Order: sequence, then structure tokens, then C-alpha cells
Amino acid sequence: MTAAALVVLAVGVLMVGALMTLLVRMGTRDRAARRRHQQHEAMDLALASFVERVVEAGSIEQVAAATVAPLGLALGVQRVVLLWRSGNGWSAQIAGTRAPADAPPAGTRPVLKWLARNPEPVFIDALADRRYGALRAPIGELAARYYADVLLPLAHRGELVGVLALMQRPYSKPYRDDERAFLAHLHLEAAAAAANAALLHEVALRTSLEREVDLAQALQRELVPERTEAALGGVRLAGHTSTPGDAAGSNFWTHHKLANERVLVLVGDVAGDGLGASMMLAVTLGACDALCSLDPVGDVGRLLEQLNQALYRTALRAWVTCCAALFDRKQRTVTFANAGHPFPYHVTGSGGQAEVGVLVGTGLAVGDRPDSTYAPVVRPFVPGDVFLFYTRGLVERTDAEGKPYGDRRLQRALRSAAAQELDAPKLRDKLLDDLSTWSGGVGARYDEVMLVVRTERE
Amino acid sequence: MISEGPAHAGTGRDHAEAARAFLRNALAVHTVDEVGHELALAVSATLGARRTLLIVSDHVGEVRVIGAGGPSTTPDLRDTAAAFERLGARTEPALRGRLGPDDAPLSALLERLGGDVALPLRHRGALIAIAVLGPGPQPLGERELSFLRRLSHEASVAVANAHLWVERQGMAGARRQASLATAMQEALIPEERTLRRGTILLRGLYRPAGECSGDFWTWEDLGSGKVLVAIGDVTGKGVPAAMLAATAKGVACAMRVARGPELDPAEFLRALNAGIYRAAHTRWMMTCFAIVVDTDRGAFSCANAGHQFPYVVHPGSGLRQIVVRGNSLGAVPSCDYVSERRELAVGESVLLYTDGITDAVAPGGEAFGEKRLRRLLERGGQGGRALAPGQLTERLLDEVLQHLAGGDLGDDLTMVELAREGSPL
Repeated sequence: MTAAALVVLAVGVLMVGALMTLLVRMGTRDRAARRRHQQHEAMDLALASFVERVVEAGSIEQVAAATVAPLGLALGVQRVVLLWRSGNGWSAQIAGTRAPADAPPAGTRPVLKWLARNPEPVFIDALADRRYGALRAPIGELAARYYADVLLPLAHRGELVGVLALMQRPYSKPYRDDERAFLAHLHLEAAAAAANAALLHEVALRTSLEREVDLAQALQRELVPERTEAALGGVRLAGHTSTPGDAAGSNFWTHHKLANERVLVLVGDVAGDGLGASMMLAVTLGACDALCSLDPVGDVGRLLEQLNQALYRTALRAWVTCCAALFDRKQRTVTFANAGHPFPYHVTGSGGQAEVGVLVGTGLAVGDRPDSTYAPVVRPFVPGDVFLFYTRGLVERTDAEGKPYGDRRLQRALRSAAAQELDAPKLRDKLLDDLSTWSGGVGARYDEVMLVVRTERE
Repeated sequence: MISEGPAHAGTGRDHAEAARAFLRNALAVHTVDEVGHELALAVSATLGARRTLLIVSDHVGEVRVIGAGGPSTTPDLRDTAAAFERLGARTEPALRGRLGPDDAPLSALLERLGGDVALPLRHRGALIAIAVLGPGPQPLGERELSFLRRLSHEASVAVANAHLWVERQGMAGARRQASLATAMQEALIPEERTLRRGTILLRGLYRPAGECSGDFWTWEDLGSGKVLVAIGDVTGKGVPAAMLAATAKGVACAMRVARGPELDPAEFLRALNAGIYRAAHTRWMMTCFAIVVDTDRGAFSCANAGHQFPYVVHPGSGLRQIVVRGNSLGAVPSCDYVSERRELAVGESVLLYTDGITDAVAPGGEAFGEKRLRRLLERGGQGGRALAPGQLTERLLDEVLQHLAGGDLGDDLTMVELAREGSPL
């Protein structure tokens, strides 16, 4: 064999070797590409199935549960922990199982606050990034609590609804770019669905809250009806209460028929706002009714003292102006005690002779001091006399220019109406007409109570 | 006119990324109008369509068009309902050139609005909007249709969330009212701390299931070593129930002042019945168990208005119930109750509770139940050791929370322990 033949043989062997190496490499690359392609297909399928499923989720637990299969199938994540807001704190559970997980570490609050504003996936292997700053340690601690290497914040318009903590994969396998892209998409869909479930829950809560508030307002209207008329113990009563809009009010009036042709009336105004004041009104009326039913004597001064002792509690912060009047038909007297309430009017005489006076009584509002006393004042009346009890809201109703109705206008209207010898309901309606004319048909601006009492002639 | 044809420039991955970017942007804005704007941007950037309209139907059924700007383009919304109906039956994008005779209202609407494609935006089974896309420079290929399907899904989520977001903003008023009521109720319920009076330790625990609760408990110092303890439960929940609980508190305060140490539990229930009847007119009722205890001697009298019988826990010698009967409160204007006298021995505790404990339901659906409660009270503390007085309520709460396994309380929960201090003789 010549040297040339040997060279040709060697070159041939080398070429075959190179060709085979090339073929093997191509095959390997092809297999890797095929595998990658299959993985991408699996990811696409997992994502499509997730998107279809998660859109129907009714709660954040269901959203988290829906992530378990795609994360397991496409990425090999074996466990997902859901953190979500529960009451004032945060709870944790293993997604898809309802099994509780350890609560987040104590120092997590700043992390959660930050995630609400920066709802991007957090990869623990990228914690060195500048954007994490001083939060590196608490984020690391939070992730370590759940053996997680990825945190997916579920946030919506700056509010954090929950966080998904993805447990490290076997051998702490890092995420490739395509896997990160998959996670980014899944994260976005999960955040949208979690926000949707949270919003749905809140809107349902709103419906239920509104219903509750409506019911409470209805209950309050039963406690203090808008219009009531009663004839008992020689007096005729006609009451009116009004609250602005549909709000629950905090003004009240109540009456009790006592033995020996006596009638006790109470008119009051509970300080406070909205349903909080209505709750206080319920406490006040509960106490008033119990006290009135227990006191056969009808000592109005003692009644207010007892009411004050009953309601004086620092935690309650009750502040109620009210007045109590006992009408005694036999004695032809009215006994009156006052706890910081506007003085009622007393109209005596008829026609052009009608005179308007006030029942004056001094005393601090109920709930103001623990030991307030209320001296009763006794005044005679003539059958046919009219008494008008009211709350401040009535005289504070305004006209179109914002000018209040005022006490003087009320006195004038009362004198004019009382002179007409109207019965209590008609007198009340006459006064209300005058008020309505003044305000141009606009309703109450504040809570209002008006109670007309007309003593009946023998 | 858009029609099937060769693929428009851009890969499927570009389109997927465009849909994702749209969702990201659309979730960051607040109103449906802003979502419509984002949609128009995404369609224009990806398909080159010059016009995108969003026809939305709000929760009261009012239809409006977003993105129609300009006086010359005021949309004509005749037959919108019929078009909604036709599109509601399909999930795929509707191409004007491919609509059949049954879809005439949809075709007519597209023609009037100058659109070539209608995308149905569905959420939780309901059609919530229609996106109408105008013609673009290129015909639509399969890739573009795939993009539109994805966009349709993302836009559905974004529109639904924007709707809900706006609706949620309206709840501020109701939430404020409820929180005012909650604050007042918290002030009405005694603080969660152990109270000592004579030989008696008193500790209550109250957990509302919602903003407000129909559970009620109170204690009143009656003087001369006597204390009134009452626990109650209003039928129903929420603010109305809380208002009746407030009425009950008013009655209890008044009875303390009016009767002092002479107060009898039956008399208290009589007054409470009148108060609840007056306030609720039989629409709501209430149960209540009342005890007046002599804190020096441990003797107590009690009366019941339809409430669960309390347990007396005696370390070492088991458990017994205080069986006293009486009608629920508020059914009739006037009702009589009977007081019974009992003794509380040194070391014994009375547990008053509401059905929130026994009705607490685990995630698997199993209620905590009376049996479990009895077993726990008999067994006492960990390892069967007797619990020190004042520890019962916390121990039971731990058990209930464990049973709930992170789930919510279905009902309000209140417990009160009344324990007589000292070692058993």
C-alpha cells in the first residue's frame, strides 16, 4: 500500500468519523428540539386548560387550586401554597387541598404591601436584583417558610388579593426562559381571575350589607313610626318623625299609659351618626320602656336620673337630649323634667286669646355626667291646652336659600294653628304644611320629631 | 373587507404576547371605557384595524357604545338586543362575510357600525359585551383568528372586572353604615377580660360571623355582691339582629338601675320580652338565659327564654346541665318566666354559650356538635387535667377553630364562663 493510499484511507476514516459525529449531533439536537417542542405543546395545552377553568373560579381558593395541575404538568412544581387575606390577617393553605399551611412570618407585612404595588413574579434566584432592596431578607424568609423559589402576587389595581408560593422543583432546578414566560402568562390569568372572584365576593357582600342596612332602617322605623296618633288618659297625641333620605334616624318619641288617667311622654335626640346612632337609639328606647313599665309613680325627674345612670358608660359614649312629661288628667297638671332638650311649647287659651309659653326645665343631657339630677317642674293646664314637643332638626329645616325655619316661625305657626281649635292630628298636619311651604317641599335635612299633645275637654 | 386569506405579518407568539399585554394594561385601568380604549390600541397595533367599538350592557341592561367618538359616528343601536341574542349563542368571532341568514340582526348591526368582525365577550356564561372591529389592511388568517379568540377571552375578563370594580365603589355607603353599627356593638359587648367579683370569676368571649351579630352577652353589677349575667341570641344575623341585641342591653342597664340587688332573672326576662316584642313585632325573636349570682356565696337564680341549657362543669365528677325552660322572647307582648335557684360549688364553672359553637362546620361538612362539646367539657384540659377557672372559653375557642380548619365561622359565637374560685373541698 502506498503512502498516498494510506493518506486517502486516513482522510476517508476521518471524514466518516466527522460525518458520524455530525449525524449524532444533529440527532441529539433534533431530539432536544423535539423534546422542547413537546414541552411547549404541553405548556400551551396546560395554559389553555387553565384559562378555561380559572375563569369560572368563584373564590381565590379555587383559583389557586386551578394552578396546581398546569404548574405540576408543565413545570414539575409539586406543591403550591396560597396566602390570602383573611379578616385582619393572612392565612395560608396548600392549594387544592384546603389543608392549612403555616401562617406567614411576622415580618411579612412590608413584603405584602410592596407586592401590592409591584405585582410581578418574584424569582428567589434573582433576589440580588436592586429593585428588592431592603426587602431581600423578608422576601427570602417568606419564600423559605414554604420552601418556595417563586412567589406570584395576585394583585388588582394596587390591592393584593393573595400570593401563590411555588415550592422548589426537585434538585432546585432553575427556570428556563420559556418556563418563565409560561409562568408570566399563568400568573396574569390567575391574578385576573383572583381579582374577579374577590370583586364578585365584595359585590355580593354589598348586596347583603345593603339589605341589612335596609332591614335595620325598617326596624328603626318600627321603633319610632313616621306618623302615630293615640288617644289615651284624657290626652290626644299626634307624632311625626322624619329622616333625610332613607337614612335610619336617631330622634325618638315614646309614650306610656299609666294608672289613674296619666300619660307619660318622652321625646329625645340621640347624638351620633347613621346606624351607630340608631343602635344607641335602640339601647335608649329599651331602657326607657323598661324603666317606664317599672315605675307606677311616674316620677319624671327620677325617670331621667335612672335613664342617665343606665346609659352612663364610658364605652358607650351615650349623649341623649330628652325631656319627659307626665300628664295627669285628674290633677290637671303636667310634670316636666328636661335633660338638655329644647323646651316644649305650651299653648293655652283659644282664638285671639291663645298664649304660647314654654315648659322650662334644666338638666344635662343623659350620658353627660354619672350623677346628673333632674328637678321636675309642675304646671297646671286647662283642658283643651296644646303642648308641642320637638327636636332641633325641625327648626333647622331650611328654605331654598338655606335660611332655617327657626323657633319664632314655629311659635307663630303654633299660635295660629292652636287658635283654630284643631284636634292634635290636624294641628300637627297644619304645622307640617307650614314647614313644608317654608322649605319649598324639600324634606328633612336632619332627623325631625314633632309631637303634638292636646288635652281633651271634659 | 376582512376575509380568510394568507397570514398577516407577525408570529403566533407575537400575537399571544400582544393579547397578554392587553390584559396586563386592561387590568390596571378602572373603567369599562378605559378597557375599550386598551382594546382598540391592541387591535390596531396587532391587526391594523382602524376602528374598534365596544358595545356593553351594564347591570341594569342599558346598552352603550364605547369608542364611537365624533358627531358623525354616533352609533345606531337598533336591534342591538337581537344582535346580542344571536352572538350570545356562539363563542367564536363572527365574520361579517360568513354570517348566515339567521344572523341577519348581527350582520345589520355590523354593517351600520362599519365593522367586519364581532367578538362575543362572555363571562360566567353570560354575554357581557360585543367588540366590533373594523377592517384592517390585511386579510385575516388562522393566526389572526386565534389571536382574536384569545383577545376575546382576555377582554371578557377585563370588562367583567371593570364592571365589578365600579359596582364595588358604590358599596362605601353601606359599608360605612355597617361599620358604625359594628363599632357601637363592640362598645355594647363587655371587654374580653377576666372579671373577679367575690368568689366568682367571669369571662366572656364573643366572635361575630359578620360585620354585626345577633349574639349578645352582658353583665351588670347589681350591688350587694350580686351580678346579673345574661347571654342571648337573636334569630337572624347582621345589623337588624344587632339592633335587637342593643335593645336587650338597654333593658339590662335599666333593670340594674331600677332593681339593683333585688333583680330577679325572671323579672328581667319579662321586661326583655316586652322590649323585644315592641322593637321587632314578632318579625325577629330572641333567646336568652339570665343568671343573678351571689358572688360571695355562689348561690344563683336563673331563668330561661328558649336558650340552650348551660353546662355546669365539675372537675372530677362530670358534667350536668341547668335545665330551666321558658318561651323565646318577642313572640307575645307579655310573657311570664320562672326563676330557679341553684348553687355553684367551689371549683365549678357554668358555661353559657350560643349555638355558634355547636353549629361550627368543618370544611368536610361536619358540625362541631353537642357531643363533641360535652366530651371536651368532661375531659377538661390537655391530657385530661382539669382546667383552671376562667380557661374554659379560650380552650373551647381553640377547639372550634381547629375544627373549622381555617374556614369561616358560619354563625356568631359567644361563650361565657362563670367560675367559682378556690380548691374543691
